[in-house]
Amino acid sequence: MSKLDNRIRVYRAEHRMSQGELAVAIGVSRKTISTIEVGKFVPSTVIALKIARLFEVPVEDIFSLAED
Amino acid sequence: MSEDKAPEPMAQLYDRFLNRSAIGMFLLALLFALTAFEQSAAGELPGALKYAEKAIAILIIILVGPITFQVYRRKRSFVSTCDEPEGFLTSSFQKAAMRAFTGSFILLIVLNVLLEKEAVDWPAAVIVPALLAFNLGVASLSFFLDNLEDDEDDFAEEEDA
Repeated sequence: MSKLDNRIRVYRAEHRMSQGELAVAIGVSRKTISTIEVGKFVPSTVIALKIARLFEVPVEDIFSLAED
Repeated sequence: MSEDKAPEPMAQLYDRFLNRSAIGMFLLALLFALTAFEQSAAGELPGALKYAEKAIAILIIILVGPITFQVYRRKRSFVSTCDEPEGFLTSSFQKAAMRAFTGSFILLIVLNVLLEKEAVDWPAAVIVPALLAFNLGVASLSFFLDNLEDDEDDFAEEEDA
């Protein structure tokens, strides 16, 4: 299975947001954000789009398939 | 004038509900295991086990009852901020349920073969609670194992410092 890389932590740092704040902003739990960040949980398209919309960037800037 | 405390986000509340439910399921597994064991126990032990079962039942109600009511009330009030029904713990709970179903199904097939060959002669009063204990035990332990890692909210800590 392909691994999904993400740059959520980078964008959070740029926006000075904690995992909890991001979680509240998009309506999920903090555990969900932390497990997405470490690659343990693959988010749904809706969650991915919500994160991208919050940071005002295309979804591909945040999520990408890891190179083999 | 006192400041109004912001309500706990629905997603966070739902995660707590799932955690409590898993603990409740584990305790229920324990209760069913005691019920199965009670059938073969002799002397004063069954009486003592009855007390233990009652204590576990009360503990389950105390642990799961209030948070279930909180979730129900929040859903009814339409002030939920949880737009996404999915999350890591929801997915983890579903996986745990799937593993429990698979495990129980295999166990049922094995038991069926053993009963047909008359290799075991356990009464239904033992088999049924034992199967329920196995099913709930596998589901709750699988959920706990999936969520062993406890992480901290990094930037929140930095901001607090």
